[in-house]
Amino acid sequence: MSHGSRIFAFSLLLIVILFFIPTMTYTFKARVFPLIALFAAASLLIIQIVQEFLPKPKAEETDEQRERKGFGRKHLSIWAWMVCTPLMLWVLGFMGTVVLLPFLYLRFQREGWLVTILVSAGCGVTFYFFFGFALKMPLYPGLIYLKIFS
Amino acid sequence: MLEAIGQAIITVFTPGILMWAFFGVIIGLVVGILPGLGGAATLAILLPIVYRVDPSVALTFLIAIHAVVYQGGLVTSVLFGIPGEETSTATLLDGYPMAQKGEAGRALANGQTASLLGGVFGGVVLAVLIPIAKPIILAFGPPELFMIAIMGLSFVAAFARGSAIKASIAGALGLLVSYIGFHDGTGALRYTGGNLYFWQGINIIPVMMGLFALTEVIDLAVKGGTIAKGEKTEVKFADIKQGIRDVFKHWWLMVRCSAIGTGIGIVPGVGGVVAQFICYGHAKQTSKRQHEFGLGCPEGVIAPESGNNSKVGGAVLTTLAFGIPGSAAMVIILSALMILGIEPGPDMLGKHLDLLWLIVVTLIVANIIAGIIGLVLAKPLAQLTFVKSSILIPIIILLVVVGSYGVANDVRDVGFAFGFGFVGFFMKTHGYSRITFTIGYVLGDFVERYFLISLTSLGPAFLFHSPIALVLLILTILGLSGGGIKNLIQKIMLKRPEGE
Repeated sequence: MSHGSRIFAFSLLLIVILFFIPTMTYTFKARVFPLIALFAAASLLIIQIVQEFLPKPKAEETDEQRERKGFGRKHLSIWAWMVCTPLMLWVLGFMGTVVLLPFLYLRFQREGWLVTILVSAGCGVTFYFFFGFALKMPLYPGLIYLKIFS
Repeated sequence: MLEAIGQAIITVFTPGILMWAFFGVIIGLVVGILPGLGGAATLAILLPIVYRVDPSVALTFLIAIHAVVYQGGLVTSVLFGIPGEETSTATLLDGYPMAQKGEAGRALANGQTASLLGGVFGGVVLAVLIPIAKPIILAFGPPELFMIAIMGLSFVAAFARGSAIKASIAGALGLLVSYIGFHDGTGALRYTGGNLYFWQGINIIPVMMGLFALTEVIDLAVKGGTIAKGEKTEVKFADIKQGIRDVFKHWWLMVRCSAIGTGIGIVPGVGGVVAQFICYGHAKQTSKRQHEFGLGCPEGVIAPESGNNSKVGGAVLTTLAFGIPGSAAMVIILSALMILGIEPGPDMLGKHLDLLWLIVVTLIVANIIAGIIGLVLAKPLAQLTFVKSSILIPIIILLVVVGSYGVANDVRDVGFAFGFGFVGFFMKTHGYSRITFTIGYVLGDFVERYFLISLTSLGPAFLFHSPIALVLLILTILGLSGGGIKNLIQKIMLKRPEGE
């Protein structure tokens, strides 16, 4: 078993233990079902962790595992995008993100200017048409807009 | 009654009304395709239309929208692994792997055909059950609902791929997350940390978007290329034909899942989210190709799609015959009826029989129109799986953003979706089933609520008060031990020749 797998199992166990603390403060009726889930999760996680440490014959590496190993930089890149997107939404608002995210992503992927501009503009128009104009969804304006105009 | 049925058919096929039905179908499909835009929200936005047009036009329009929303939801589930509607989550379990194999056209045709036939099945059952529905609906109380939920949870075992321990851990964690928020049985606030945001728990849409769609986005970005990784490089009309044929090949599965969906739809408060997972679990448990489920098996698309679409017929029945809405969308339909001065319940079966049949016929016609449109569009839509990942990824991320945000117009939901994206990625990497987590999450609150109500009203032996609950219990035990019984029979069969 990999270190990552052990760390993940330990993290889950830690989360379960953290959930135990407030559960004990609830009334009996309110805590009975959460406790069942917590005990089930905790006991199974302990079994899993023990299994992780038991010596096992080395399994043959699958294609997917091999693929995963070889793409460290790509993982880092998409993770960065995943962290940045909610931040972008929070700061720039809905429409800012809808236009800027595809623009920046496509430029970082070295797509041509024409494709980049067409996709970004297309996203902006389509998303605004459906969600802002047709469905009157209150689109979040973003922190910058709120700071300036509120 | 025959006269009322004939009149309803003539009314729906009047060019003016048919045009409204068509318009409603288009809106329903678009709303279904766009993630996060619920059918209920759309109906609420369009509700004022009942003030402006004839009652039959208004009802045709609203019912047509509601009837096909789930059919639209399957498109993004299959193509991008994003559930267009929460009721399309189970569809992506096999639909998306089919798309990854280059079989998006076939998967879409599977889903569209199953939805069409399931929807028609629901409509026909609605028509047949109208006069005799009352005892069926009243037979389902808290113990029966509790057992339905337990039956759903028992499928955790069926959904497990790889380690059963890891699948069960994920299921238990899903249960735990479902208990976050206000507990209506005691008034306790559980795991909210005093934060108002958590009072209503964590919404299912951001959780699904994160666990499934964003995890696939990470994979797509890392692997590059296109969504379709198989040998196929284009979608052919033969794929669509194959998809349609699959449904007829598995017609008995489609009928069974449609019956399950309609049955669950009739019972108020269960909902399509539960129906799809029960149908999927049932399909997997009864299939000869269990090992193919989750890797792109057509039965895994047919089962949930026939179930979630046929549910509408059942839900409409309860709403119209008793005035008990089983979902938010049904509340809007009920409001529309009340605005029109129509009292649901016995009045519908007497004074407004014409409108009742109009609704039944609209339900069937809308499903047929949507099915045809869906099948016609399946080929061009499936081509999207051959578009470069660098272009698709920002669009999919934006769909996740808008889908999560649209649930409550709250930016924090988007943050949660991305948080669950990371959780889903680690779960996938380390072999913890995201499906069993989802089942636990969907059913946790449900099990607890109906257990406590049953316990309070009927005492600890509540299961023995209800023959239906006992039958459901036996079915659950049989389902759980199905594999064991099968193995035992196989062993006996294998031993016999030696003894003889």
